[in-house]
Amino acid sequence: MTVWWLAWRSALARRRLFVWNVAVPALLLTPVASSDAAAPHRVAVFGVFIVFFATFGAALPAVRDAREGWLDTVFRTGVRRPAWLVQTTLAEAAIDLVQLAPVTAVLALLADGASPASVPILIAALAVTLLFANVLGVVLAATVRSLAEAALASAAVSLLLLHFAGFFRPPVSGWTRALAALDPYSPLRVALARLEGLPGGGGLPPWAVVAALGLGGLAALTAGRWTRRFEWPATR
Amino acid sequence: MTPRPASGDPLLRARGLGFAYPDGTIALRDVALEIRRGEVVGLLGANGSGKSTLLRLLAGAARAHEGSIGRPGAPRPADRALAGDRPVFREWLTGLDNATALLRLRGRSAALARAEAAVWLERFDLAPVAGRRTGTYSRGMETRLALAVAFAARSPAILLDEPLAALDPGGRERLTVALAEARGEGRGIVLSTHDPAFAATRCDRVGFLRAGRLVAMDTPAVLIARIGGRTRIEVELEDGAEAARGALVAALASSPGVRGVRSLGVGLMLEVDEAETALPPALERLFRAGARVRSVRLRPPDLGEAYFALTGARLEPGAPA
Repeated sequence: MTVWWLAWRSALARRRLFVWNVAVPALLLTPVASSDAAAPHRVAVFGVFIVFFATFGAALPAVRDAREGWLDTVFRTGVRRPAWLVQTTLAEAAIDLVQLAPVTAVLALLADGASPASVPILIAALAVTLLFANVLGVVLAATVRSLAEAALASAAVSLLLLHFAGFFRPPVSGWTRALAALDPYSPLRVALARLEGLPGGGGLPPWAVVAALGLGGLAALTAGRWTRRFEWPATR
Repeated sequence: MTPRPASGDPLLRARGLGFAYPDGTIALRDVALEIRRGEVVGLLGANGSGKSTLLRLLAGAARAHEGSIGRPGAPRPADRALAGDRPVFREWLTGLDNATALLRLRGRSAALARAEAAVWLERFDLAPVAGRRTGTYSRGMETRLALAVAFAARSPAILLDEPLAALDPGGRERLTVALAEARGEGRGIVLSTHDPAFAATRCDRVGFLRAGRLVAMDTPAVLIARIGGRTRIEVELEDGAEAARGALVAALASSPGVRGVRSLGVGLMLEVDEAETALPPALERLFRAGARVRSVRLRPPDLGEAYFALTGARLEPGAPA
């Protein structure tokens, strides 16, 4: 659990950054949550922000750590890359969850259709989303050559997945519904829609949740292989 | 109780090692060497000659493209500690936290890692700054922290990439003590350096790298003996004698025991087989030729000369590393 400990120690050692990571989501999303904007628009903004927050937050530090040689230093201690990946993503997702907790509370308080039952669902969906976004961020970091590329790739892939999840346009046809059911960000859309009292917030079929978790697990396993690219010298 | 490994047992063994960077640059070719327990091996070579790459391959931090590395005495990654020439730490954590984290990653318990980190930070004179963030450390402090972590790891094999590069005299002395102790405990240490004098006095064996090839590997004494063992005599002349330098060179060239003469700065340099027999007649010829000698200095052959002689390295720009 040393990687987990190190991630938390690092997060707490950078107090200023930690405060910013709590304050910025609250400052950006609270006005949206309290605005007269249409509920589907609010759901889209919340979804984009949360996914970007976690994906960028995983990808950019991973690129930096790989380029500076920190990951090389860590791997040389004998830590296995899959173990590093699992512990890092779990820790970073947990840190993200803590940092987003205040704004999540605000969203729940200000949402139109919030009910006591919708809050635990939102938290669970948020956890799944943050976990997948952190894995995705590391995978993207392993495939690019610079911070700029990491940012672009994070934005592009995240937006695509958010689109497939139905954040920007409700999935209506058969194949878009199937794609949405497999998308790891669909639980977040459903949870946010439910929070806002939208009709699309009825829920996902049980198999879709299993499929999303399976895809997330597959992504994590694949990421273990991708992280070989963090080794010295850079083969990217 | 596990028997303590004997000094001299092989730790790392490289055969036909080759490595090329992704852009095709060949960093190492056909390198063979063996590192044993209880010895310090030095690597000398110009910038870009392959020292760092070889250390990384030995540490298992990169994969060789050719050849093989056997690690009979250090099979697990944690059995090899590498202190790179550009140590990387979490700059927002303290030196103690960084060292503790790296020891914990090697499997130490939290309490043991912190205790050992504190001891080794003290040994490398970092105790006063142990609570400071490493982002505020100087290059020398970072090097000492990297060395502290490498020695604290207690790995059978310790690989140090240019540890002297940023060390002050105190740091060198602490490194010397740590090296002697690690050698005494039966660890095998490989270090790269640009300081032949350090290598000659602290290393049991020294290897010369040139353009990715290990061109020589032996004890410092044997390497020096291999270049012929000629002593150099540096004769510093008064300013007025410079004009007659050519005549003096001619006069000394035929002096008994003198193997070579050339101008050097404000004087002359003689190469002789034995200084005791060659120096008196040479000085006599100089005085007779009217030279005014300011000083005479004997320089027995050293490892630096052996390096230049055996690698064929030149100081001209563009010469291969």
